Amino acid sequence: MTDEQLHALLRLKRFEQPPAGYFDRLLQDVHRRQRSELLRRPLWRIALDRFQAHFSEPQSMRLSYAGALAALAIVGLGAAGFLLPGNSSSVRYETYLVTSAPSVERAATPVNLLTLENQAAALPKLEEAPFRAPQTRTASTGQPRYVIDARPASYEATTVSFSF
Amino acid sequence: MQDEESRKQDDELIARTQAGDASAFDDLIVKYSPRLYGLVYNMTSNHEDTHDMLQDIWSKAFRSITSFRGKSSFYTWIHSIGVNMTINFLKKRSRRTHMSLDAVDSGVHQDKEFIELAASSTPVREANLNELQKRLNEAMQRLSEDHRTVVTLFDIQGLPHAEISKILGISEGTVRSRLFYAHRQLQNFLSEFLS
Repeated sequence: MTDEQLHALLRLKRFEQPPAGYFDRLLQDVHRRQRSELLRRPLWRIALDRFQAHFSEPQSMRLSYAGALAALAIVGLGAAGFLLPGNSSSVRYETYLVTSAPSVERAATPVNLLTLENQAAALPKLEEAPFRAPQTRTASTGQPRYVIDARPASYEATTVSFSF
Repeated sequence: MQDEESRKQDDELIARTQAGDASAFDDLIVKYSPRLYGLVYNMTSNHEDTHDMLQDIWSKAFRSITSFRGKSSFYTWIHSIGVNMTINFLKKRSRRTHMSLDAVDSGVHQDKEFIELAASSTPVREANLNELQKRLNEAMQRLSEDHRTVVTLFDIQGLPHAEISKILGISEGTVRSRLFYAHRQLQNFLSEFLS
């Protein structure tokens, strides 16, 4: 058998076709197959589609917007409460001021309990404090002076004047 | 190969399908099913398997039509799907063969071109045509899937080497090589019958 004879024989198979009307039936069967494939989809896919369809409806969109706004409001209130005085950050700041003062026994004082007693204890005691004469300004004019300082005014220099 | 007019028509049908018009895809099914039938039937040699395969091929094509970008013609694209799915099917079917000719073969002799070709071919005229076709189908089934595919696409479907290389994703040299080897095998099988 030559190549040409083989080729001619093979070409005959080109005319092998199914019976008449077969392709119309094939089209119907393809449609049936597509429908059955839709029904045979996995459960997770069906659930996902239904979830997406539910949230794509207008009413559901409003609900979702309301939920988002509610979440935003909660976050905003939380942020506002954080910044108000008297909250935990303010307490921490005052505690820092008290504990940073000298002669305070930090271990004996609770950190967050600020009472009058604690504040009094935090202040330096009067007898321990060194005596410091108040600063005075003397008048330079020759107007009469009264005792307003620890020393009589007559002992001070006369260069300072009152200036009310 | 398809002409420019046919390709434009395909492009329009594909665009309509991608836009959601399922009836346009039906037109593609009607247009290409006869050639796809010849492709799959000559690879499987079984009408029922061919019928199932065609449904699978068109279902897959419909699912994938949105990803079709027109880099190749629809003709090449659908043939690629058909060839790959049929080869996978044949590997699963493994060595189970169906040598009996189906009812579709009975209509071959009534075709005018077939009679002319048969009359001009000495071995065909001398031998019983039915028996020769049956032997040819048997010989085709003895080829490997790869060789049967190139014979089907080249000798039966009439595709050029370049188109076959695109469909199968192999070089033209490989197509020619497989064709040469497949023809030698077929000649040997049929020579036994003719002698």
